[in-house]
Amino acid sequence: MPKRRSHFIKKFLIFISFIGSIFLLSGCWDRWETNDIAIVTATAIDKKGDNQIELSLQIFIPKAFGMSSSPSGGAGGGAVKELTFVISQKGVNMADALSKLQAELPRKIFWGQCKVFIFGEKIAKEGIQDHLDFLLRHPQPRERAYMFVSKGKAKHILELQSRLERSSAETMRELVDLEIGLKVTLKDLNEMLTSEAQAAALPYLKTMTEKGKKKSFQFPKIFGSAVIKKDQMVGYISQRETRGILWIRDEIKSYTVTFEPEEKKGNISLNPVTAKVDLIPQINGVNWSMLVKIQTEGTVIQNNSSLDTSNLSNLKVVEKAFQDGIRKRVEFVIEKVQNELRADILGFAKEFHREYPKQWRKVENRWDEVFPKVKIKYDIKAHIRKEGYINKPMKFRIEEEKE
Amino acid sequence: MKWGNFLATAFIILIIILLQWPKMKQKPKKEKSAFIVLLLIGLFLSMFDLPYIGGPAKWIEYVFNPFGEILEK
Amino acid sequence: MKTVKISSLQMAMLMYPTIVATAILSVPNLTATYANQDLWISPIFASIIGFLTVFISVRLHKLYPEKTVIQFSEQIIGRIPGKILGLAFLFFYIQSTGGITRSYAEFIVSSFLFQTPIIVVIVSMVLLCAFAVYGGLEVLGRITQVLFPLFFVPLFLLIILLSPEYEFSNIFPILERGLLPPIKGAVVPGGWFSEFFITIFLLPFLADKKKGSKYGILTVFAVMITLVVVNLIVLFILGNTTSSKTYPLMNISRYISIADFFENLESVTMAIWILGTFVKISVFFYVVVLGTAQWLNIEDYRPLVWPIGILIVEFSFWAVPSSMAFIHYEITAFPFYSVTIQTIIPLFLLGIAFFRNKNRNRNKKKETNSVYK
Repeated sequence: MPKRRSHFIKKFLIFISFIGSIFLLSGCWDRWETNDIAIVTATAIDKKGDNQIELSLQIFIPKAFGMSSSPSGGAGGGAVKELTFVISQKGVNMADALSKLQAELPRKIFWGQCKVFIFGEKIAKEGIQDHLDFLLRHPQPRERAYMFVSKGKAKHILELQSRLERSSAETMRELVDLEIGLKVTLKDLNEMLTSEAQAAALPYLKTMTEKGKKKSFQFPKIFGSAVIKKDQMVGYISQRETRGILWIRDEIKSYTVTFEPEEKKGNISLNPVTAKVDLIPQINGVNWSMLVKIQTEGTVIQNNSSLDTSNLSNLKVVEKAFQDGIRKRVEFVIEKVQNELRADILGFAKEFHREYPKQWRKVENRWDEVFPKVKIKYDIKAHIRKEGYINKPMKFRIEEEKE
Repeated sequence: MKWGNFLATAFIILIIILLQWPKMKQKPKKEKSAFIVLLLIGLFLSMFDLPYIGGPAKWIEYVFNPFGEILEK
Repeated sequence: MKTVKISSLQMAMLMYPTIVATAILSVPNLTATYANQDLWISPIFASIIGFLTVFISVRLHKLYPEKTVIQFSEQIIGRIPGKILGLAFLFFYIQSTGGITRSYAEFIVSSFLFQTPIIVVIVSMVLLCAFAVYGGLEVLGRITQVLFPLFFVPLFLLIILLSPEYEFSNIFPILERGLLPPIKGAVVPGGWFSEFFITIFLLPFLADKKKGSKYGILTVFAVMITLVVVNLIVLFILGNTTSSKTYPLMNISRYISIADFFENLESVTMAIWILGTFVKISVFFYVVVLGTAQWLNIEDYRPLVWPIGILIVEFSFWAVPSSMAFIHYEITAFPFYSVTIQTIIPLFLLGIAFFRNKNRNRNKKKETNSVYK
């Protein structure tokens, strides 16, 4: 009899513990349903007043997405329904502003999908590291999110509409993915700012206006890059100069080079261009120099010049011009970076550190002084490998016909 | 002293005893007493606010501090 | 207890996650603090401790083939000192188990289950491990045999999937400040490698004893390679920021992006980590329970699983108020503590045992000689 009783107690206890585990198995503390979260698609950080910042979030509206995808939904007025909305709050820092924002939203803010962070120009000039601390410390924001600096208020960029993509954030992300300009992720920025050079370049956004018949349309555009030194924005380089930086960093992808052969009228364009770039640091006593070695190849895509590239001697002239064209681009930007901005966004410091660790340690603390004095040598080899589907320039053909 | 912790531990210990004791009936006395003593140690420790009182980790850190300092240099 | 047998392959599969699971998560950051871009060299130095520990443990095992360190230390240095030493071992292992459980829970709570009380994470894990340990060593061995591919393959995949992001030149300059920084960096993983002393608790239960030392050495080697590779990929991706991250492997697994949709794979890291820690905690738990039973001369260790489980939960909280304090402990005290208990003391034991046996053998020889005379 007592044995049976203990058996019953045992069964009862097992039952209790199974019931108890139901509470644990559901993981109820961290239950996050998709309809309980507000998905942030882009974030903008602006300066507001003296010591405050304004944090703006672009939040995805799932309801609108469902409606716009079904044909019967938004067909009424013909107007495209917006898929995102923007809310903003000010605070002493990001975390503070965020907590205020959370109070306004019925759903929990979720950063996991936020792939775009934009700093307003004003706050970038003041310093971004305080905000980076939040982004790197908080477990949700992704290291792969892209970083930007915008001209004027960053919030304004978030409020723009997009025609092709779901939101302006998506537009910017796709723009960067094309790798026409710089591509800087949160991880890259963190790495660059803590690296030897302590300088970084971020894509610089501007709002463009396209005047249409009925109403004008505004859209964001990457317009060169903002140069950041230590953690402050110190200057701006144009899109053309940014290309030069891409050349030096060996990040050039699917890019058209147009140049003018000497004393010949017209231009020649090459696309695609592939390049291999090596930075070779050299130290000769007290003279520090950097050899920029570029090997590049291209295919003719348009020939408006009076040179027939199928003629091999002409080809040499064209290749020479190609070479000079690249050299000009690169020289131009190095000159500006070294003397005007004095920020080593080209990664020279890293190269010197890797090649000459001992000498590097002597100048480590005064790299700012050394960097502008580094002499640049060039070794550029440019070749044209293919001329496309036609040989002689179209111009020639027409002239020949006339004769 | 945190009563919540103590009571929760006491409850868990009660369950453990109820489940395990029937299996231990045949076992020698030594085993039973070891079982009970270990449970009592657990109950005793649960009476303290453990994260904030100096415990083993503190003692060990104290003992091995000189080595740690060599590393920091 | 004689009936419990595991194969030496199972022992290797138990030991590998036991060392690697916690090491891959925090070692890259701890070594980078001292060794910077040379962090990948540190595990090679640290593995020397691993090889030494396995050597000691195999040697001790050959002298006392049926016994664990708790039992034979009484034979080597006498009953009372042996008991005291046994208590030190038990204290070390129970406290380490608490520490591992805590660091596991800290990681889960700070990366995934933000609102879950840490006690729930700890208790559920300890409960799970308690069941595994209650089942015995054979059960543990078979569980790891099943789990091992699930632990190893994702880790391997992670390394492959990250390859487009590698920045190989981050490795330069190699040995910028000489050998000292990587050696300093080796101290912390050295603590992990000395955990190979746990093999002493597994060797007596091997079915194929001859292969024991071979597999032991092989496991040390595998752990070393894994740590070198993990440190390298962390370096290739995070570069100079490695030392500033709390969980570098976490950051890099989030960085995977294949074809724009295969992203956000941190849950893979979490899965690896949970599997690995489960094995690790179970092994440590088993060692504590078995050791306690042997220390008290109790035949059946199973009833002790539950009270010791409670103690492990309590030890995981004791005197560690925050994750920062825990990391500080992990750097400044744990490696030395671990090496002292698991490598240096056994080395002394081996030395004493060796001389004693020599004497005994001489006496024995005399005896046998006299018999045959």
